[in-house]
Amino acid sequence: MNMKTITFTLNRKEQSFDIEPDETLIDLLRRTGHTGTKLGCDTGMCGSCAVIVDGRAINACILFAFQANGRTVETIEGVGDFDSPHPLQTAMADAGAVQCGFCTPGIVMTAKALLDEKPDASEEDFKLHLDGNLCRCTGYVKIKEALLSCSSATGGES
Amino acid sequence: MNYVDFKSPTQLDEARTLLKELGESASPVAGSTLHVFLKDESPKVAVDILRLGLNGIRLVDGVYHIGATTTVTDMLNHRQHGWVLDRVAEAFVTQPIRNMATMGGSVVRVFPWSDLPVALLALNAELVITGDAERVMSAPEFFATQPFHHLQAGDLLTSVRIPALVEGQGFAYHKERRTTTDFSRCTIAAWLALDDGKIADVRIAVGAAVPMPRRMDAVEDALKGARPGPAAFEKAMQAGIDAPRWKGLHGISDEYARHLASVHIVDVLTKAHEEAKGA
Repeated sequence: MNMKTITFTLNRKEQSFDIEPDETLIDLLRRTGHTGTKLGCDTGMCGSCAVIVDGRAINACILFAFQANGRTVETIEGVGDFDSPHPLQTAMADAGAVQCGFCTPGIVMTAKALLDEKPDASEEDFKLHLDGNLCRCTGYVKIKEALLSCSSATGGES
Repeated sequence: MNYVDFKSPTQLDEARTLLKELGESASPVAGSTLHVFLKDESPKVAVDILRLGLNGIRLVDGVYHIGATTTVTDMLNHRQHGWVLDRVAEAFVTQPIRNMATMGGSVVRVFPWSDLPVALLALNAELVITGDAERVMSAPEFFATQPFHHLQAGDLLTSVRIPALVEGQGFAYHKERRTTTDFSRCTIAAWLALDDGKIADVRIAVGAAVPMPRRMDAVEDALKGARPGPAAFEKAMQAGIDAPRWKGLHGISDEYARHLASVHIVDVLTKAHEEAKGA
């Protein structure tokens, strides 16, 4: 296979990776230890693999890794961790919006992309932007409550 | 897809030269949302066309010029007088897909669920192909067959032009599906223009429930010059509903696909009329 090197900013740090031409971004992320990003449907339909590329949430399972070359990529590892969680992560935990947790990183990343662009996002904004994130455990009420609590429109801070 | 190499040109000429040299082994890649549906496993060289500066929406003399790599999200977020593609973009799968999918990728290869071809037919779009010389195709000409057949090695769809809606005109789009990620059962778009209370011009296009998106000529003919309203819309729908060969997808019968179309033709005409009236 024709390995090539690409360079992009991953979680605020410029990094280079040797990739195969048909490697997807999620395969690259996971084999380099960024396993917070989950592979679900592998067809771009469930949102569990959502990461932020140049400010917008995308499905890493269908984006080719070479397309990240020169761009800015943010994964759940760059957002927060157990000791220093992002307000969205805290809100999801506090609202009981997490059960198995498989979809949670994708939901947090998609919501973060929305709030970064529109801090006062409304319920309608969340409905539209999260329409590609499936959760098979919780239903969506608690997720919606958690995300809305982070909007400045409801006094939240993201 | 079986990509054995990739290229990332930054100039249109550079990309065209690569595509020409590589011929059938080249595969232009933009939003990359469709490769999961393609079964071609022959070795290909991916040519990333997202860095050519072909994105953006410009209004020039009453016509919108939409760059081929403009994302569906950009179409959804755009707000300007006479811009209507946000209504189509909102129905376009999910937010991450809208963030990735582009105008060009959504029209060069038509799938049954494709939203934009139906809208472009109703909006009388022109599609600009840059090859050794630039050529412009009308939407009916472009969508008469799978559009990628129009492209020779080195050709790229570079932009799409649609006239901005003006006073006295209306546009509506409907996509029949069960959930946001569901495939379309039927898609219908209508554009109409009023003059002195009558329908001066009208275009209706249908997709998903037919083999390729197409205009509904008989419905349009029945409406031209008519006074718009529920009776006229119903009568026109009846006049043209049996022209296409309806095809039910994803568990619905051909007959039900026809039924969905019959209902939504009247619905989109009613909505387009309301807008044209200034309601």
